[in-house]
Amino acid sequence: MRYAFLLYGDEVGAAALRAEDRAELARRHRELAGALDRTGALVAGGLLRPGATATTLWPASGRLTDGPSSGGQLGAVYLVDCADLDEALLVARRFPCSPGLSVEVRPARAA
Amino acid sequence: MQHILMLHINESAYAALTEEQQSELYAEHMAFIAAMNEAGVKGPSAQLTPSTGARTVRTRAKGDQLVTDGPFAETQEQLGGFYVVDVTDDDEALAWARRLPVLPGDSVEVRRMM
Repeated sequence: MRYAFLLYGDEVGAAALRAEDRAELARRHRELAGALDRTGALVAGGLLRPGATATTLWPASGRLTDGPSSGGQLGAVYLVDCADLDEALLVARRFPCSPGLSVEVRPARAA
Repeated sequence: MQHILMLHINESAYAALTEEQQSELYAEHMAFIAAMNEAGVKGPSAQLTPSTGARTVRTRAKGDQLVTDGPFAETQEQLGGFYVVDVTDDDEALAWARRLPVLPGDSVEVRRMM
């Protein structure tokens, strides 16, 4: 089954990280992605640029706003094939600990 | 350059759709996918199941993880799905974002991937 992993963190805390800690975190993300890729479980995903760099489109009005739609704490999105929810939760626990990290896990349908 | 188009939705609005409206919206998404494939820009994508079915693993202190039922935040707006597009620049990503089938209350957040 396919699961989506939404990584929410504390952006302020993350921004306060030293450059080398940030680089280390990114490296560990790539490492985990690589490990999941080698087992064939990784479908897609990666780190997102910070929320401040986002542009949000509001279709009803056609307006564009700078920044994320909400919260802004979403830092990464992954799609991983797992046998079941238990396995998905194990995968969720493997993500590198960035400040205030929460990993939301939800079944996803391929689109 | 990979960009992610994240569709933020009001889940109750989607739950209130008739079957016919759902089919219509689904067909529009299929057409959107076909257009992206034809243009050679389509990356991975997914439709997320409702946030009520989510579980969240929260890291409080190093090694201290707690699993809670439900999404990260109990907000009106939740992530409904996403499309990754491989395009030349931000403007092109935005152009695709404008073509995403949506309901009036939705928003589409566009970000580059790292």
